[in-house]
Amino acid sequence: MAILAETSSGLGAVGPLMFYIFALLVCISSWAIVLGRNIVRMAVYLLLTLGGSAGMYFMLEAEFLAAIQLIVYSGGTLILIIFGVMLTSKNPFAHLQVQLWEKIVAIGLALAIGGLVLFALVRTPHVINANQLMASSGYDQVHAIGQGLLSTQLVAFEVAGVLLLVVMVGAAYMARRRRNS
Amino acid sequence: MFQIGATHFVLVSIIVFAAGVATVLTKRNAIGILIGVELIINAAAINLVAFNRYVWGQGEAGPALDGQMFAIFVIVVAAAEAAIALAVFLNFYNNFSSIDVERADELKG
Amino acid sequence: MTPQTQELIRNCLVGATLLPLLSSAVLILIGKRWLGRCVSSWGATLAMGASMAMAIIALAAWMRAIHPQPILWQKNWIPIPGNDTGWLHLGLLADSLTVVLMVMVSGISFLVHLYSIGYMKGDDRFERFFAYLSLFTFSMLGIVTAAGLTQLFVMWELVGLTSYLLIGFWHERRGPQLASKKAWVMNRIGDAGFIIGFGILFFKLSGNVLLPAAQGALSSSDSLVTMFGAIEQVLATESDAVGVTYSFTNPPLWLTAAGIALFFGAIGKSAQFPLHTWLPDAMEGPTPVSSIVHSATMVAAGVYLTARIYPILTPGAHLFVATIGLITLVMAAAMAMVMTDIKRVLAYSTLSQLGYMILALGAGAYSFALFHLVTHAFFKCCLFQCSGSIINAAHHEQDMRQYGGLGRKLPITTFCYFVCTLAIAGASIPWTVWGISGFYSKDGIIAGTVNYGHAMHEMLGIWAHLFWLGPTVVAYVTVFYMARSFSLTFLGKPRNQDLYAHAHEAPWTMLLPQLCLAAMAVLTAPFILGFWKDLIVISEPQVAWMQTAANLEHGHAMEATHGYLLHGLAWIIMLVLGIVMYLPGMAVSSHIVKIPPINLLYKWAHNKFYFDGLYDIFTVNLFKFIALIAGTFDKYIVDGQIGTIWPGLVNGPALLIKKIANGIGLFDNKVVDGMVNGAANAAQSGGQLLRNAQPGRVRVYVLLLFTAAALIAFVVLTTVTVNASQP
Repeated sequence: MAILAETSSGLGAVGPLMFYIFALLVCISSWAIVLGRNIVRMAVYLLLTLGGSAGMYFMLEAEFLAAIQLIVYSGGTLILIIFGVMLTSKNPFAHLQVQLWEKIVAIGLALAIGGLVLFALVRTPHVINANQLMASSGYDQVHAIGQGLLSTQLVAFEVAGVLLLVVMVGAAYMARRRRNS
Repeated sequence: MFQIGATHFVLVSIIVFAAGVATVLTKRNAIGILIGVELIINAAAINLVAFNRYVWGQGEAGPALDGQMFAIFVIVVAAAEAAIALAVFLNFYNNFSSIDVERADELKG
Repeated sequence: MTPQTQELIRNCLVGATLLPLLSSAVLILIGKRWLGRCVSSWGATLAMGASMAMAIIALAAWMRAIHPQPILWQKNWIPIPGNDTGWLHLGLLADSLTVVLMVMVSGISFLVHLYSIGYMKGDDRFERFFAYLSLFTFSMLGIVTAAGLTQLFVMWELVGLTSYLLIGFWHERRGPQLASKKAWVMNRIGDAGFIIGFGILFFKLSGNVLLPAAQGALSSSDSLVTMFGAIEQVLATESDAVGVTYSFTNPPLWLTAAGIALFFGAIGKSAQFPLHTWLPDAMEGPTPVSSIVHSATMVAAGVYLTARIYPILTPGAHLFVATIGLITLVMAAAMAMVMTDIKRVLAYSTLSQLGYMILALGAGAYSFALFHLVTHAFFKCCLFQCSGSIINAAHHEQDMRQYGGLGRKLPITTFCYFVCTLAIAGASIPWTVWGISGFYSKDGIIAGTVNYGHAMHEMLGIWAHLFWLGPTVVAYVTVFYMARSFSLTFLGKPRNQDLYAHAHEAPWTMLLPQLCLAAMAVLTAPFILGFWKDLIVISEPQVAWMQTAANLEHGHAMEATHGYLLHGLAWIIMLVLGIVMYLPGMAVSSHIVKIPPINLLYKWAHNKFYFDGLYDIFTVNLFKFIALIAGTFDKYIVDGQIGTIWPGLVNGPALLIKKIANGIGLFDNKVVDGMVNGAANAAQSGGQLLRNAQPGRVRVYVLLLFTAAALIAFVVLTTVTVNASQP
């Protein structure tokens, strides 16, 4: 316990354990998406993945971001996806088959890309050894984020706003109801 | 192993990223592809936040939170992109009455 | 001679020459269609008469002149390449020989035109005959007035051409076709010699071919020289170059060769041995043609040429000329004795008399040769016209064995024929010097040959005596065969009653010329002897090296001649012999010719010494043989008709080219097209292959996207070195 207390980064003894639980959740559910056949099941697994990653955000002391993740990503984007699924499936339990060799190629490519990133990771030693101590609580994370958004990241913020505007207009236009001609 | 470092998070991000790539490449359902893309984006976001926690420097009154802010933007963009994608897919479904991307080969050369 | 006289003579001669050409051209162009028979024939005759009148005016002017000199009038015609000042000329040379011959030719031509009006009546191509006759006369006059060998040669050829046209006038018949061809070819053979001689002289004399007779027309200040003067210059140059003294008596080979070669042309034209066989065959033409062309004018052209080039003939050439003349003389006389066709008899008689003239020229009796030429023209022309009348009367029967006793039916013709027979016989009053024209000319010739024989004695030995023996004997023979023909035709009993019954005298257009010519035959001699001597003296070539019979032992020669001819008795004896022997037709002679050596001679003479056959073998058959060889070569080697082995020179290349073309075509098809198609196919396959890169499938695009991303990442990660510095 003491070892755990020393070495953990303020998360207590449950730090690593929590991490592994969430990590497992995320990994397994993300690969379950790959192996899944049913689109609805895939959506559910996605939900789990997103939830798991929200947990991981919590582990990373990014509470605000975790909340944003749960609200926007899980509660917004995922619901959108569910809408899509519902609107576009004649047969919700249908499964569109892909050939085996394509699957092998795809997974091989995925592993290759993953391997590449891993390779990049290995080559940057300071990342591997990084263990930054977070400052003790006393800073207001939401406040900091808010301030940062409007000061140092202002341009990105504005651009994101414009982007959202454009997306709104575009999506509304594209999904408009069409009279049958 | 018990000392959780950036490496662990990056490994998770790699796994999710690989899952996302595999999903994109193996799904015939357009929504499945969209899900895969979401996974990829999510992996990137995890990466960002992980590095922010373990590598990034110090700000004015605390650690610099650029990584988290970027993660917010990532989430925003992901949501926007999901919306657009779904609009497109709905159009596609209306025209072809099928959500199978194999049906979208009219640009065949 | 005053310039006006010169100009008058010149104009008259030029006009006389060109007028027949004009009438010929008019007749050819519009004679048949627009002028009609009467106008064209009388027009041509009158044009000829005008020409004759102009010639007579020229002759009169010449004779009236106190010291007539030759007139030379030349125009430059063709420049000689390589020679700045040299020209070939067309021009007029008028000396005494020219003016006399002009009158003779135009006069005889006029009379023959008149004669033809009657003779050619009823012929289809009536107008054309007169056109040809006028054209012939023009060319003959061109020869007579020519100043240089160039114009002479051009007119020479034209005479040959018109002779061909006239002989072959009735060209639907096989006989005239062959005869005209024969005449033309033999003329051409002679002309080949002419051209060779012309070429030698042209080359050696740098194009100066002015006739020697023009010497009198040139003043010493003139730059122009005649052939004679040019030859003297060249001989001098060559003598200096070689070291041997060349002269006319010691000539270089080329001079003798040129003379003999030029004489060859005369052999062809005047039908001398060996080119004599065309003249008897030429009797296939109408009788007017025979009377003008083959008795009086064209055959005289050869004699004229020889006379004109006389000064440049070397002694060797003289010997050659004399020999040829002698051979012709004797041979023709022998053949004339045994002919039964009246025109053939006259033809051989012409040959014989021409032989006389050529022999005379060779022997040096220049003036007598030309004298004989003129007199012979008249009486031979008359004889031919008489024969034409007879043929006309006998409805174109020409065999004398069918005649007989026609004297009663055709009195005028008989009279003319008899007069001319006397003329050709050289009739004279025995032991005096008066006689008809033939007497003077023939005696002079024989005298000349006597001289020549003596002169040649040291070189030729006993054979030299042939030169005077031949003419003497032939003189006897001439009388004999003429008497024979006269007797067979006009005397005795008619042998063909039908023919005799239908015989009638000819129309006046035919009789009048005959009478005129007979008169001329008689009167020529006194006229010419009265004036000819002056003409002779002036026209005789003034060359120092020649010793003519007139100069050398003239008296002795004439004495000898009269002796040989029995002082004028010979002709009477032979005449009576001929007449008497043939009074009963061929009865007597047919017995005589069976006697051994005579029968052999008779056979030879009758077959014309087999010359025709000989020439046939060497020319016709030879060429047929060559043609056969050529034909076989052509058939088998060129055309390749011996099976499939040898395709022939014609087909072979074609087949070869076909094979090559096939090969090329194959190459084109397979290789070239293959390449082209291959390229297209490659492009298409490549396109098809590349097409797979755009399948239109989204998943493929995505796959490619990620693959590309992985590759790029791999490349970047392996090449970019990572700074290990802390961020």
